[in-house]
Amino acid sequence: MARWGMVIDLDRCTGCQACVIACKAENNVPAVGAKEAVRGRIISWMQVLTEVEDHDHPGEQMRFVPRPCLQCDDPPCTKVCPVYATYRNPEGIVAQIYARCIGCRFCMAACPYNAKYFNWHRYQKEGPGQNPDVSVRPKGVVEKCTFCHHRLQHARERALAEGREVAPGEYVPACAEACPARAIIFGDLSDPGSEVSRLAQSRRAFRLLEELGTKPKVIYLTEGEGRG
Amino acid sequence: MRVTRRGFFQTIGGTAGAAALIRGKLAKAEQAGEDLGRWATPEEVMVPSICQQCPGGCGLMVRTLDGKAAGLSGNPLHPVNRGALCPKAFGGLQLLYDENRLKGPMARNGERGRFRPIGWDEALSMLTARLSGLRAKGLAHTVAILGGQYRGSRDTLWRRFADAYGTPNYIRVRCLPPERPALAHQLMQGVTTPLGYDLGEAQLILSFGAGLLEAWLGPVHASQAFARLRRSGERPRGRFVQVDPRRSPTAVKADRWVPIVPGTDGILALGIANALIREELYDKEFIERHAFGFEDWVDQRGERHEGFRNLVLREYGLLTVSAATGVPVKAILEIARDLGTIKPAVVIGERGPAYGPDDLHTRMAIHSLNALTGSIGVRGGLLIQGELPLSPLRPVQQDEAAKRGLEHPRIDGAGWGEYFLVSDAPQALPERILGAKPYPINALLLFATNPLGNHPAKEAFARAFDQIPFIVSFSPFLDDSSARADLILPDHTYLERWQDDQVTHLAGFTCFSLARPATAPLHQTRSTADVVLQIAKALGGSLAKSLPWEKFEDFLHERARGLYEAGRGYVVSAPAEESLRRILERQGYWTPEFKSYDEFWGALGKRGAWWDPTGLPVSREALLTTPSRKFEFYASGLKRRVDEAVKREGTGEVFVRALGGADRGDLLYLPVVAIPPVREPGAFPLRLNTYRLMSRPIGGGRNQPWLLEQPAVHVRASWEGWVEIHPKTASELGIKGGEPVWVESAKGRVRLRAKLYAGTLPDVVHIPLFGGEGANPNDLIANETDPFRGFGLLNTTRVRLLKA
Repeated sequence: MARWGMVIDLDRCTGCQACVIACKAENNVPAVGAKEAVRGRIISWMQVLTEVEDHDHPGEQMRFVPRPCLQCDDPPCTKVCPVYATYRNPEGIVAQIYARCIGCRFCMAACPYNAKYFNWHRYQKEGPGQNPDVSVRPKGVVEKCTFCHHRLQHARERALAEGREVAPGEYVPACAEACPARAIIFGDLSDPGSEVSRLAQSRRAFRLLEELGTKPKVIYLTEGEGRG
Repeated sequence: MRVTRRGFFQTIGGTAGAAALIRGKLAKAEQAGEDLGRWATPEEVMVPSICQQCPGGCGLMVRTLDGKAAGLSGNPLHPVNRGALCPKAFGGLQLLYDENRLKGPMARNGERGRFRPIGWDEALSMLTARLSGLRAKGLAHTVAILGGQYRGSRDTLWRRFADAYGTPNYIRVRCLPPERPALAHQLMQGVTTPLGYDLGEAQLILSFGAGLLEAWLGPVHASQAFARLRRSGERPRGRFVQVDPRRSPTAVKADRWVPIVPGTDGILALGIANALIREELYDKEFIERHAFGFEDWVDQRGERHEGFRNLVLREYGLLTVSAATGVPVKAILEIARDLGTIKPAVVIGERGPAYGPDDLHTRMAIHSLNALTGSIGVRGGLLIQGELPLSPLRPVQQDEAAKRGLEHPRIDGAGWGEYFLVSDAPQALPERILGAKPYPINALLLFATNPLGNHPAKEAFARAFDQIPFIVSFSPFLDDSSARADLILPDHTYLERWQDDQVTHLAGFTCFSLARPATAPLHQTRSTADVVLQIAKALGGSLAKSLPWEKFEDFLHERARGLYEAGRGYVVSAPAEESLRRILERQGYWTPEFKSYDEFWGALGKRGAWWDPTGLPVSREALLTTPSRKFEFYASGLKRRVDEAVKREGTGEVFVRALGGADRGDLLYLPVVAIPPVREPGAFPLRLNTYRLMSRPIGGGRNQPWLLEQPAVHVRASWEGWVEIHPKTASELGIKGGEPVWVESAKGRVRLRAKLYAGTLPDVVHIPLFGGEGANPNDLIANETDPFRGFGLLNTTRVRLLKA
């Protein structure tokens, strides 16, 4: 069984947010509006974080870190869900079942990466321009990055109809597809020949908050000199 | 009788349906039908299109479901973006489905009364009547057409219309024309097409304030090149140096950020040149064989002229340069050493806002570094852009009325006096309309531009609009300018219309993109290109003969035939096929892929673009088309233009003054910038620097919530503009981060939220050109004119801050 993972090369990333907006368009993520934004309620499954070295002088040193859901192999969020609305599926993707979610937001509190978002209101109705493959979330549920799981389903259906396996590169999330600097590489970590596996072995590779033991499947490559 | 589950439900359903019918209500049955429709799998078709959110010209793939656009992605075959996109591209969906789009043509009730919807026939006849009336009265020249940021066939069509109608006033309102070469390149290299930047192959990029990764020519194309520079696998990690008053995201990604006093970039370039010459790190072979004016020289009359070398060594010592620019001597030396030793290197000083009143000479000084490093006409340096082999058009037919109209000078004064070097001078336009100099404007057509919102002279434009009796807007939205129009004939948005794009500045290849409508028009709008053809037909005579096409599609069909017949280049194709063709071509073979033009046209529409990857040969001689056949430090082309102006206008004084004044003598033609005297801070102690955000599409994108909600990453902001202040400056003024402040200039003041950002010089504040509601930085920008691009100087204004 495949183990889907992602490598993000921070040396290539330009912080342009193509991944952020591509994700919004693909997954029907609404803009919440100015009032809600002030309250910190922007929903952004993929978000470009900035790392600042000196907090009194922001901007002197800065690093851009795109952060999707890290799809932990040992996810803290699934353990606290009282209704099994969030779980890790056999391929390692951490999923969220909106119909089951009761909106307690325990998972949001548990996630060390702030990768989960709550629908405080009904931010949008179904309308033109939306992707029909992804449901529009109602008020009161938590949502998160799914590695564009619906694309995997599509790829599988296509492969099944043609009587073959899903080809490498056939399933790519919207963020990786859009990235102009090709900083986001996606693929099967269990396949030793895949580009992600190779890059995950790089000496530049690291994981966010590795010490927590969450075992993320999103792996970063550091900036600067160094091979790999 | 056996009752099955399905049979049972069918019977029940039938009964229920019948019951509904009997009661005369079709509601349930209808609902059921609708539900069925909803659950049926829609037909998915991917249609190639072109993103029109910036001049980047990326290829799109529009996902359509039963003919409705439901998603965007990059066209993987398109050579400009190879399947990738920037954040702006996705805003295109919100632009298309914006609920506030105009639903059809609108006219006024009475003299600038309320808008009322009208039919297309009525609207077109109103416009035609007005245009033919003016033409009959011999006032064709008093019709002005303002065009915004677009290029390709729509530009060709408008120009043709203006020429056939008889008005010299087809005026483009934009900072810079991306389809024309930079003035500095024109004058020093004699090029007639824009230069291409081979960023992907460069090993060192030195950029003077160009927002390479944000808002330069095409952010996707540049980001891909940047990624190659960083990690291509085959060669060491390239180096990237960014000179910029602000630590922009581009500067954050650079290996070295060089903060600089705004407007002194040219002086820094000369300092670097000084170090290159002094340490003998410049490309001696290139300078000796391919450059003119480097050493002292004697002209035909025996007069001695000082060369670039001695002038730079004498005047631009590192201490002097360091004092003027604020860049430490050590940094200048290190940049020069990088530039002299890392090959290939490319120096960028094109586009971006004007550096200041010395803009032309600043850009010439920066470009002279490309000559000193021998980066001209080499891989990884500056390449020439080939011309597209489009079918030539028959000459425009001009009747007496057209000829008479075109004899008049342009209303904006472009190509005359101080605006001698520019093709358009929108900055001067409002004043001249107000003063009716040299004649009043009787009708104004606005296409893809909103000067009342996006131009620094917006107040003057507003006053000028009041004086024009008839204004027509083609905007799909009711923007600031359309709200003042008498007639609105809304255009389609770009996913609904036929269009083409001709991207420039690419790494040595030429490219023609074609898009057919990805979706049927959502409203009663019409493609303006079609409307122009309809009006020409209605006006009849030589206009109808000059623009004989039924639809814009036919025009494109005719133009693209040249590509098919050129005997070179390809319709873009899958990578495997492409590399095979390249191998063949390297061995001297070129085979046509299509048997007929129709086949070619069909493939072009399906794959989205044609390109010629081999283009012009990379060679130095191909570039140097100046009178001396060399790169000219002493721009004899500029000297010739000045002589021309003197001959035509008597003294040519206005033009020479704009260049720097007659007392500068030879220095006028050399790439040197005078070191400005130190200025006392005065009442407005801070410099204002405005900049374009990565997330800002053409026109601002007020109707694209995704982009407004997350406009930038280097500061935390959402849904409103802001001002970036150095923490030191802020603490001196008692301003805390997040507080609202007044930014005040001699022209006006705006209220913005303060963001503390140390990535700046302490005496410069930065305001993004944010497209959403709220304060507009154009309210601050002093209306200083730039004689080298005819647009306002955006970054020379001085301001002060007050706690709000």
